[in-house]
Amino acid sequence: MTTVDRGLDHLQGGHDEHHDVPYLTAKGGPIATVWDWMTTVDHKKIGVMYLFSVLFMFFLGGVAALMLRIELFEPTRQTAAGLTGAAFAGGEGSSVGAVGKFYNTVMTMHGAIMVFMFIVPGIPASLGNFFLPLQLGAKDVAFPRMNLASWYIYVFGSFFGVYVILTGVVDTCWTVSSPYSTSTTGQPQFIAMILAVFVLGFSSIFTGLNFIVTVHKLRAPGMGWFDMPLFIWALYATSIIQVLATPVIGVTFLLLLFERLFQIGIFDPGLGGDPVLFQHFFWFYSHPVVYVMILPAMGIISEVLAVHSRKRLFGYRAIAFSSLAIAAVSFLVWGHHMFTSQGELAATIFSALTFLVAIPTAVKVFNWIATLYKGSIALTTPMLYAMQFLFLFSIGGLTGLPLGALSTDLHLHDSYFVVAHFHYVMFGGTVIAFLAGIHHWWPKMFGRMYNEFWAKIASLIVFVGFNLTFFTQFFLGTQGMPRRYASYVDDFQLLHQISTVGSFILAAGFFVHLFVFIHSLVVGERAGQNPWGGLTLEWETDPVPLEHNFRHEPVVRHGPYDFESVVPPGCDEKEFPLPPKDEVRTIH
Amino acid sequence: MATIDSKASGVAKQDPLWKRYAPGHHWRNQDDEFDGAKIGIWLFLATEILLFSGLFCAYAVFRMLYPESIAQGSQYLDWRFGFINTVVLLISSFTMAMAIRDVQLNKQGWATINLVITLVCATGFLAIKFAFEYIPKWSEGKRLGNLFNYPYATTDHEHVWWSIYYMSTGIHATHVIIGMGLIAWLIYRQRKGAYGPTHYTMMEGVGLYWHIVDLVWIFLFPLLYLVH
Amino acid sequence: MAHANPAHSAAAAHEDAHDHDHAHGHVIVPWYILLGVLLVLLFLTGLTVAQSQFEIYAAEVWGWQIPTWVNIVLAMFIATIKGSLVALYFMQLRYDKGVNAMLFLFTIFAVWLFLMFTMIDLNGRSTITQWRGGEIVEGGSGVGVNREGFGGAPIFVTVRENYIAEKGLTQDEYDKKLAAKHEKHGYHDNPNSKDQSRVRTGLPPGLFDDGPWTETAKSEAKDEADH
Repeated sequence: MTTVDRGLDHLQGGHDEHHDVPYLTAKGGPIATVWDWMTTVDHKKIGVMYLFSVLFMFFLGGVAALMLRIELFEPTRQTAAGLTGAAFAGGEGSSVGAVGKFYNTVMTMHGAIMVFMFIVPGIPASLGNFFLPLQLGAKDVAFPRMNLASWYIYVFGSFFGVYVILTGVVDTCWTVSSPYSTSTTGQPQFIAMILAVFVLGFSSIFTGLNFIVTVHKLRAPGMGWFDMPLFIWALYATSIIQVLATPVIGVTFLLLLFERLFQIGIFDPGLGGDPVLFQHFFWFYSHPVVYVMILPAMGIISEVLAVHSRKRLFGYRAIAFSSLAIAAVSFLVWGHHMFTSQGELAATIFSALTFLVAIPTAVKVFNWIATLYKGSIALTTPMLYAMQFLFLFSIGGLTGLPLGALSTDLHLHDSYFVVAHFHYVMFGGTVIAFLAGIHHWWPKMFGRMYNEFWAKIASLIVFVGFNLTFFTQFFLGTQGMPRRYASYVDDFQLLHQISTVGSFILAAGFFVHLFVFIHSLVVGERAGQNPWGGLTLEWETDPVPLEHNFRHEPVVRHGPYDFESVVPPGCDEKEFPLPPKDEVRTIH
Repeated sequence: MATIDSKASGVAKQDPLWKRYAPGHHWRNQDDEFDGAKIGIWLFLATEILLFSGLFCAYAVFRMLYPESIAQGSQYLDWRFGFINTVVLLISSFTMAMAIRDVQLNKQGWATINLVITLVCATGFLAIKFAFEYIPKWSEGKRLGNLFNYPYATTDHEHVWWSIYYMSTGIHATHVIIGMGLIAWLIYRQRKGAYGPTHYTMMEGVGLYWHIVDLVWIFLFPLLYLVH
Repeated sequence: MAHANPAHSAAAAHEDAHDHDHAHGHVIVPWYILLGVLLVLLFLTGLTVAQSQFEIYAAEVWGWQIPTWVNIVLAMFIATIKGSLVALYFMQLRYDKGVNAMLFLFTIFAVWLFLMFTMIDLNGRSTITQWRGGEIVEGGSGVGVNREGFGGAPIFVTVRENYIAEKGLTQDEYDKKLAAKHEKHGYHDNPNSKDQSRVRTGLPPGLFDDGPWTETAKSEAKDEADH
């Protein structure tokens, strides 16, 4: 993992005042190196640490998911034998038996880990931290120590949260709805979980805060707002949402904490409160947060599609503004998670507003497709993933429409249709884009190429596995299978079995990816400065970026996607030839 | 409007801390760092505003649904203490702004005085709150949630009113306490000469935080005390 | 923020000697503006208090019933002015670059959205379908209260009954004490009387009192039952 790169010494121009080395260089013995990483304020190292943490959390959440799918292979509850025990038994007076509680607990673990510890920090904290300053031409983010604090807070909150969930007491599902969450037993664990989420929220706020200030104040000379890569626009919009929405979940959980401790009576109907109020509070954050999940993914897709088809992005300003529009509209629609619980007047308003959010999203999808037209498409792994994204995210988005329409949602609410919908957008959207981004930027992050052949195989396995797992769930949903149930009627069994098999294929695909990554880090072929021919500023750094990023402060002289007129930095024209001057490559 | 003039003087070892301050490497210059820090503080203040918005939302909803309980509950609060507290906080906001101004003009003595007055006002706010409001009410049984013990309640949701009251003013008081800690630390650093005309970022930051605390109270006071 | 590394600062200072001492365009707000703003704020605070006391005074002395919404709107209006003054002058938004003000305003907008939509929902529960209004026991049913001897009745009822039992009071004695406790609140004695200038929940009292229409309703019901 720590590569000592002696081969680059000849590139050291001796211009910089400090002796700048590639950021992955070991600083001495193993203990010194570990200490260096633990106390670093270098955004690249923090980004890498986040990457590993976040992927580890994905693994944990995935294990939980596989456990759920194993249980769902058979219609009746299987995990009965040997799992009764006080730790897993339902609380007093609950109608949930021992096995049901176990299933619900694992399901809570899957949801909470995936949402709070994997996908919300996911792209912004890992790839965003690494590449935002690089793409802006800055030496670091605005507040480097806050960056490190954000990582430590994330680790602390995550360990705490996972520990709590593993005690097997919290089984409210990740949405923690009252009145169950205000009255169920398990006070210490609940307090711990509430605190864990509260703490994780700060990690998110710090990251967002850092990004906004960096974009405002640390751009390279010559980079106006509309010369920034679209990944930055996406991260900027994401950060706005993070800063504005996260405190509301903080106060929600704080009030939940007091409701449990002192029964203050604002969420519990037995005390004069209102459970729907809790849902309003909760979803005011949790809806914008799903756009925190998807916006950076869309930013990655913009980058990947442009670079791997060597084509200027179609409609730069449209994509930039649509990111901001999505961020703005995301605050208007939270009630669509509550169609069956709130009053119809509000429900109608929210339903109408929900259709609005599809518009900027569609603008982006059409622009991406138009970008591909007449591009020199290279079917590299990132491009394969980007294409998968276009397909899978479109399915996810379109299936959101029956859920946004009030009348159809009444039938589909809390069914497997919803599960399939959000997995298509979150997994088929964000995770696929995350993989595209990791592969696209892998050579820059670690200075090594990955094995392209096996990576493509893995991506195909992932695609097949994903669709097997989740496409069937649409049918399950429309046929009436409710979500969050551990057992079901026999009629649903075939589809569930296909889904379970699909989930294991999906897991296999990820394991192949894991092996590809490990192989690349250990014996991978060294990458050059710019293997894909990108034009954004991160490709102007050394093959493994130096600690202070750039050798000389970069001055922006061309746009980020001027593929038809600029030879990519670090490449020669034979590698990435420019198209003939009079060739028409846009849609007319 | 006066702006800070510059005298490009060299930096010597015996210069005060604020003169010897160097911005972080990744910033182009000190002004960028100051502007960036200010945007950062405002973003943090945005999160504070949204935190309190949850409490305001709870208040608004329960006021709308159960107005008699809220009205009756508001009767129990003595508006005079609320008024004094508001005045105290406004004065502390003023002295905080004056302290920043003094540092900008390098009047370090006045800056200390103003900061100390701010701290005293904050302490006074908490003292009035605890001595005249929280403690008497708590001992009478007017408590939040299931600790409620006041036998002369007449409306159904009085315990919810008290919950809202204690939660809102409690979280606000917590922020006042945190603010006091920050101001105390500011006094300590300012006595060491860390803040001057060219570097007073931290003071600006704490000042903005303190003004938000004041701002929240400006809205909390009429809603809790005055609107029957 | 303070990357104050002594070894670097000398070099950096030497490099940026010109820039170092010059804080471009940092506005210093004159003391008289700050003081003026403070005085206006104090005045407005007094105004807010006066306005709320005036409502009580007017009701008690002149018998005016000023609608409650006037009180709220006026109080919030004054609070908004006070808040704006603090933001513009004490927090120097007036003298800052626009980005801070935009951020602040967008935050306020988000808060407004949150409150508005939530209140629309919770207020308009039974707007379209009657049964959506639901049956909420006023004060809560008391189920699930984590306290010895509580449950089954709203908290305040149980507290009252415990107190009466503990002190051995008769209902009359208790009522006298209750009246004495609430005496200083003056005209707010009877919150639900239709003379009070306050928004009430649900329907106005007296709406279901018998009147000419109830006879018709009763006879219609009888006709229905007969068929």
